[in-house]
Amino acid sequence: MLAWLEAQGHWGFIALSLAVTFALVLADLLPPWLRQRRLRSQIRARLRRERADAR
Amino acid sequence: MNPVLRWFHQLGSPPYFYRFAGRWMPWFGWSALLLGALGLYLGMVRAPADYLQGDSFRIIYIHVPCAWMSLFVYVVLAVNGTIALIWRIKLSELLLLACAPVGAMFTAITLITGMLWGKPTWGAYWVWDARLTSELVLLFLYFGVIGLASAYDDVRQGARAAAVLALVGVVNVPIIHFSVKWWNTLHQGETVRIFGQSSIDASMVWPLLVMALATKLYFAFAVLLRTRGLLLEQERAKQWARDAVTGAT
Repeated sequence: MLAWLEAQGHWGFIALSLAVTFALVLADLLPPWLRQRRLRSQIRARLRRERADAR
Repeated sequence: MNPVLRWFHQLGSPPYFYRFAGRWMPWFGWSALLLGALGLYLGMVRAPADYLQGDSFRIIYIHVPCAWMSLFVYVVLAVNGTIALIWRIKLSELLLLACAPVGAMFTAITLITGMLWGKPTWGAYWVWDARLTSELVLLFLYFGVIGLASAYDDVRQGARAAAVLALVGVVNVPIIHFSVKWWNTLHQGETVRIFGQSSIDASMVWPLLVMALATKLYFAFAVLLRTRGLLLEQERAKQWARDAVTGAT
């Protein structure tokens, strides 16, 4: 695989650098964003349940 | 009270910070995206190829801003650790926890893109050179902070333990910065200087500065996103958190 990468020349290394960077940025952003969305929907569901119980 | 001091006190309040972060996040996020796209276009398309390194030098437009950020984030981590240990401000503990994964990401990008730059430039992906080794130690320090913080059931206790490690590890920051001066390294010396003449042409330095600004804005966005999530998790039972989620405030 490394031999294949080296055969692509300089732009192969540049393209892989860009791909790794985008992948790591996505891996950094997605989990906290998804966790926050889940948490917000849990809080909303709990509030709805509490209001229904109160009635 | 001094208005700046009062603003800092207000910022320490979870509901105020939650609203503040919510207001600023879109600005930081979109400007990071736009500047990042512009910086990459200028660096990858418009900047001329290096006379010695050819096109492979373009990796600096990712590698160098991320390397600067890996050090900057660790300093922010250590400052928050100090505040958390001395004044026990909850928000500083959460900021410390939010900074560590973002700093680890910048360090990982620095190391991987450095390896991909090293092969066409030096003929090797990795050498046990002072700069590379001390940057690898920084990645392990970030992993240590993340691991130590998550080893405790109590988030606040974990954050304070991680703050001690963050403070001990800050000694590595000047070592990384000065490693190219203190030792004979394969890694090149300082190219861009704030004070004094830079050894890089202006046509090549501008995209680098745009990328540096983009990474700073990304850091602000990512830390606010993570801190908001941690705050909500910690304070979910409180009325302000319920109001914030339902949009009552």
